[in-house]
Amino acid sequence: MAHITAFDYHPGNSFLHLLDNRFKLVMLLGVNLAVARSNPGGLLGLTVILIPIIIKLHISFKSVLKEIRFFLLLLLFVFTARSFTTPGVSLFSIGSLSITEQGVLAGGLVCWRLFLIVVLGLLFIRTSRAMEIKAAIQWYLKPVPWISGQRIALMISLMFRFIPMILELSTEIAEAQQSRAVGRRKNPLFRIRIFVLPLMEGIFKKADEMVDAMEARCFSENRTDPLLSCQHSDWRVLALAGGCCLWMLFV
Amino acid sequence: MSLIQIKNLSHVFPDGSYGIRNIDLSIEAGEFIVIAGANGSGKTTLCRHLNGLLKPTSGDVLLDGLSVSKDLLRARQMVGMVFQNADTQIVGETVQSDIAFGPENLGLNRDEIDARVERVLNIVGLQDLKHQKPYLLSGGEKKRLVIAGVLAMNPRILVFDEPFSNLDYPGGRQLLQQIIHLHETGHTIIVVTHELEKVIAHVNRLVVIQNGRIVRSGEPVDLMGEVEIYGIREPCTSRYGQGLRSWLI
Repeated sequence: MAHITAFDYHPGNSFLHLLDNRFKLVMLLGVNLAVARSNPGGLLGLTVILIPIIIKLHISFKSVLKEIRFFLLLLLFVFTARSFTTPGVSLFSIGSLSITEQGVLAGGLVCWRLFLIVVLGLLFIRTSRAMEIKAAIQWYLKPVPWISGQRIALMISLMFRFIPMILELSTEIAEAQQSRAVGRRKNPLFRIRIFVLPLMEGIFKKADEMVDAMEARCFSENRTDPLLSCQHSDWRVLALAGGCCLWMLFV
Repeated sequence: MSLIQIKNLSHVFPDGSYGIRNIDLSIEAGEFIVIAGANGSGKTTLCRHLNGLLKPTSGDVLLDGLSVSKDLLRARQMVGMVFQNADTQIVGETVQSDIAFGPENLGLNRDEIDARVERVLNIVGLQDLKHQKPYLLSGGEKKRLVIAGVLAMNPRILVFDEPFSNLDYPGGRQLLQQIIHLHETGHTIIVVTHELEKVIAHVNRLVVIQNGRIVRSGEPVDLMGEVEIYGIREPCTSRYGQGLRSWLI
């Protein structure tokens, strides 16, 4: 059976849980843009704001770090590359390569920004039900001509639904092949081929079955819209977040 | 007039092979029938004509006197279909949103949808799991969720295709109790299976299908002696001369 990860929705009654997802999406976008443009002072301010929120939501740092371990490796790579490639005052040299003070600062800043963006995404995902995210996206797409908000919303919904199923199927295929000593076959192309073919076959078969099931339940694009409602508190938090973004940009 | 009338129904697949041939069958409102047959006998193909998922090559299916092909939406509301693989029927990100999928497709207002969702959550006993992600449910719970999703459409007829596959003993018992309860509350039930053991003691009629044709139809107790000719295992109790006993005892 599958398990809940740190990046899944966790029920709760925090102010983030209670916010309308349309507002949360706008805030996420705004704060991410501010993070991308702000200097260390702004990032420090945001970090100070985020820490109590993380504590309040009982997020385990250990489990989050475990989940994003490959992302942390990417950050390490980015930091190292920046440190070696940015011109400036040399801190120390390894052969013809030298780590510069400006490189360390620039690398640190980029990594800090990227890490904060991941943390913001984590807070959003942990406090937002997938169906509410879908409803908010559908609401934003409604006035856009030539794009069916209903269809996009259903695709998002099916994506949320299909990913665990595909992961389960791929694990099953991998384990079945391991039990038949696939590890002894050294040719990576052969291994990719024998893994991908049954996986794709399984995915298409499941997709076909899902189409039948949806048809059997009268699937139509002209469906009842999801219910969304905003409170005064949503506007207040949005204004506060907007103020924070401006402060981050100009501090 | 019978609730379901299948008239000279045939289905030919694109490769030219017959799925079903010249099927004639009438099912009365409130009946509980089992359609049994070996793998590839045409059971599932037959069922998919009941709500228009497959179009007949010849013949017709009438629901309460009206051809399925004349009004597909009506047919799909009348005939709720529970497929073999629960995983591929669940489209919602939560239990609640999956149950609401069908009523939302019908364009019902939100209050009516919420009322239906609450009602069927209580029927299938998933009230406590309504915010749960479906992929975190057990096999039995997933099956109950699929039934709930179908019940939310208020169908008069329920078709279960191999309902007991992939279920453990408690899950199978719970599902059987659910099916019996649905029959008692006025639904017409059609169970498609090759495993008679679990359900046969509760049904009114057994229909045996082989190579796309109906070869036997009648009261289960009268047909038990000959089902193995058609690749269906005779239930243990019947084999040992103890008649047909409920799996729930």
